[in-house]
Amino acid sequence: MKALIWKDFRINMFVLSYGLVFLFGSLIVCAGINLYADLRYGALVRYWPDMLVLNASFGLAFQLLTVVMLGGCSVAAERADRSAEFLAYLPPSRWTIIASKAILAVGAGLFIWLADLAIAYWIAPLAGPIAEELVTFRGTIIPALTASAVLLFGAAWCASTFAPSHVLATGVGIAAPISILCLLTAIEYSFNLRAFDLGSWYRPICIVLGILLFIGGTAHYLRRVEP
Amino acid sequence: MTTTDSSCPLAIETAGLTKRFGGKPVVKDLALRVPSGTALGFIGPNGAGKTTTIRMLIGVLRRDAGRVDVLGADPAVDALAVKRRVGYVPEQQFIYRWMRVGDAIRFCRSLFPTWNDTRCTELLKLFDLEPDKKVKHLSKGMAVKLSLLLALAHEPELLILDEPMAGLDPVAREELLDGVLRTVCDRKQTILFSSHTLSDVQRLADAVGIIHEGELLVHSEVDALLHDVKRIRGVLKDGAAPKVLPEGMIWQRVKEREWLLTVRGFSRDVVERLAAENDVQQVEVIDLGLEEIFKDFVRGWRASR
Amino acid sequence: MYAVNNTPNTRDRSMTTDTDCAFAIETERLTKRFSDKAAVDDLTLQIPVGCVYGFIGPNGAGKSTTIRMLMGVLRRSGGEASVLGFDPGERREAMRQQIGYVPELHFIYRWMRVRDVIRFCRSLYATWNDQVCADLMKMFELDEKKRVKELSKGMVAKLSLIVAIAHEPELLILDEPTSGLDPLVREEFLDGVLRTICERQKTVLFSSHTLSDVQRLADRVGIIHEGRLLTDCPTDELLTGTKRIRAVLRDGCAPGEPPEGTVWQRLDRREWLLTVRGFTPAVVERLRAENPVEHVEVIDIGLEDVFKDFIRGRRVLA
Repeated sequence: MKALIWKDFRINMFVLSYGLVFLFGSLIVCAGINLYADLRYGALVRYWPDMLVLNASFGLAFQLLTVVMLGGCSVAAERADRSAEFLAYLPPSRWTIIASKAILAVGAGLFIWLADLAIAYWIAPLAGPIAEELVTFRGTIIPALTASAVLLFGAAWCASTFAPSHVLATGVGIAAPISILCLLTAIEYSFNLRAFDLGSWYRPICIVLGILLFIGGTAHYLRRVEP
Repeated sequence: MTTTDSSCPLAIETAGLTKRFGGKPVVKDLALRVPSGTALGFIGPNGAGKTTTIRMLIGVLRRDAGRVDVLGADPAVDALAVKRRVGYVPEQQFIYRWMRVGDAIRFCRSLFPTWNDTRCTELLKLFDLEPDKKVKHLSKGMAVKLSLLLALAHEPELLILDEPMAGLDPVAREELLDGVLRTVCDRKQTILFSSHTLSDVQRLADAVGIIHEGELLVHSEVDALLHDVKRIRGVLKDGAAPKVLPEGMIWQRVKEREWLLTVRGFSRDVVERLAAENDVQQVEVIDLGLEEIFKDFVRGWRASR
Repeated sequence: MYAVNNTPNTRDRSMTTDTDCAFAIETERLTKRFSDKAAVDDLTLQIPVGCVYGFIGPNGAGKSTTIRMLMGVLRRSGGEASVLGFDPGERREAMRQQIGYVPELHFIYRWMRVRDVIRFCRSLYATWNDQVCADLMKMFELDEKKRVKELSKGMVAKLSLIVAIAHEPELLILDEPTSGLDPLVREEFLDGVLRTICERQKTVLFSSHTLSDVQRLADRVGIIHEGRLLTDCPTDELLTGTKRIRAVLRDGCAPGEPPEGTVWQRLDRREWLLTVRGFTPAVVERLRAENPVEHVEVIDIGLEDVFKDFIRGRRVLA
């Protein structure tokens, strides 16, 4: 198992470094701007918490890409370069192979996501009071992004167990939340259902669908024959 | 000994041909001369630089130094002219897998001005190919045949085959070899082909070039080479060791009292001298096939490093 | 270096034919259909423990499909299979602990270094033997710091073999492992295979198109064509029992019925070539008596010609 996780880590290294660069890179840029402002205009310390909240919120938008790539590369990347066929003849069961992939992809995704959430909800308040409008902003955008992330990951993961290449799987993943959004809007306008506020259905639909796709993809992987 | 006399026109001529990948030379100072209308077997271990050389000859890879002349043109300058007059069969078939055989033929037909339809039909029949079949449904042998058909139907003056038989079963290999022989021999086409099945090379080639680590070890006519290289088996007297090694020795091995050595430039003289100058009881000369000759050249070269 | 040449079928291994002898691989009417077309058709195969089995057939005959079913990578459509006592469809993980497998195309992770590949595979097998691994690494002169993508084809094949035999498997399955390799690498590769099987009673299933190698290595040969087993018998028996007869017919005469056991024949003007299975001198006598022949000669043929004639004969029938 350890060796499998090591291998999956190496395969996903570039995706993970992308995630980490956006996590820490944006923090460093943000800190730089704030420090410059502090030195130049004096103690404007009250910007720190706001900056951190904004940083984490937009950071999560970037991390959507990390999440979808983690899902999309998980199985299909090995299929694209055919190393999956090498693995198929070695002793580990498909169950162990997919478990290792799930541990790595879910683990890494969660780590990056939770790190940004921690900045928004825990570190930022420590730095000082947060502006009212930013609290509202945070309350709207972060749950929406989180729900999208679950669907992105689930859809890409599921596509990855079917697709011959990770590019295709990632594409399907990206398409998933967009299609849900389009579908909801279309239904809302065509049937004139504004009173029902279908927009608020987006989050639960994404989360449920994402989890179902994750489970379905895993089940398909366990049954399928490589290549 | 040399393959060419200067009056004969050359289909391929290279001098000082060199290619480096990341500072490491893969092809070193290669001088190759293939007269028109002859077949050169280009042999060497995996990773010796055969495919790299071939890719430079057809102009898909840029050379780092040296001169190349293929059918009177320089492939680095005028790759198109060279490609139009050369038929090329790579080791792995990259024909679009979703096409049908007929689609692949039509596709290639549109690319070559000299495409000959009657010849194409002939080959289709000879190779027993069905135009309606999808390329991805062809067996490996059939895919190679299709690739060969596509390389031959525009009537190239030069045919380059890069390990075309790798992975084919003996029956398919023989059919393919027959096909090449039958279609090529009467047309005076020049062939350069690389293969690891040296019995095929021995059958098809007029001359061989043995390449190892980018260097040409041997470039000679096949008959001359088979005549010229022999293995000598001597039985040493008890406790004796070889003393004087004959000139032109390319490989040797002593195992207990048995002394095996392969010499180039063999004559009765060599054997007599060997027997006279060393403590050997009994000397015997063994004819070698191309495979053994190849192995001994490469082994000898490796031992000398 | 010359181990390959010196150890043909004379290896001292007990090929017991008692009734209680165990089979490393046993299949019964094994079948695989791809969209209704049978790729493997009613294949019944018994490979005794300790046997080196040469599995030969044309491209697309169903060799790889059979092997993939035996490895548990592909599900069978019908029949039974047992590999080292396991059903490959059921407990393939436990089964694979005791199998080494070398494919034709090597898809080892290209970004790994040689030592990473070794470490990776080492962790997957319970019985990995570091000594065997180190010996083979030395014998094959593999540079453990190199990345797989930088290795030549021959080197990758050698690495693939190391990974397949360092855990000392009971059964070694080689699926055209030397295809596209140069003669020197092929020799080294086969030396490596022999090294492992000579020491202990290991079973080998070996498919290859280089029939001279099969002839040298295999105790037993199975020829498969279009999913069916054409013949399955000890190599020696196949070679001594199959001969080519060259007869010259009298002017203007046509040959009669070919003798029983003829697998292939060809008539070229007055020359009549036949390849006969189950050859005895009586066959020649009968041929001479029943046909207008002037002159008959019996030719020994190697495995490659035996194979070609079996396949060609089948194609003529079809």
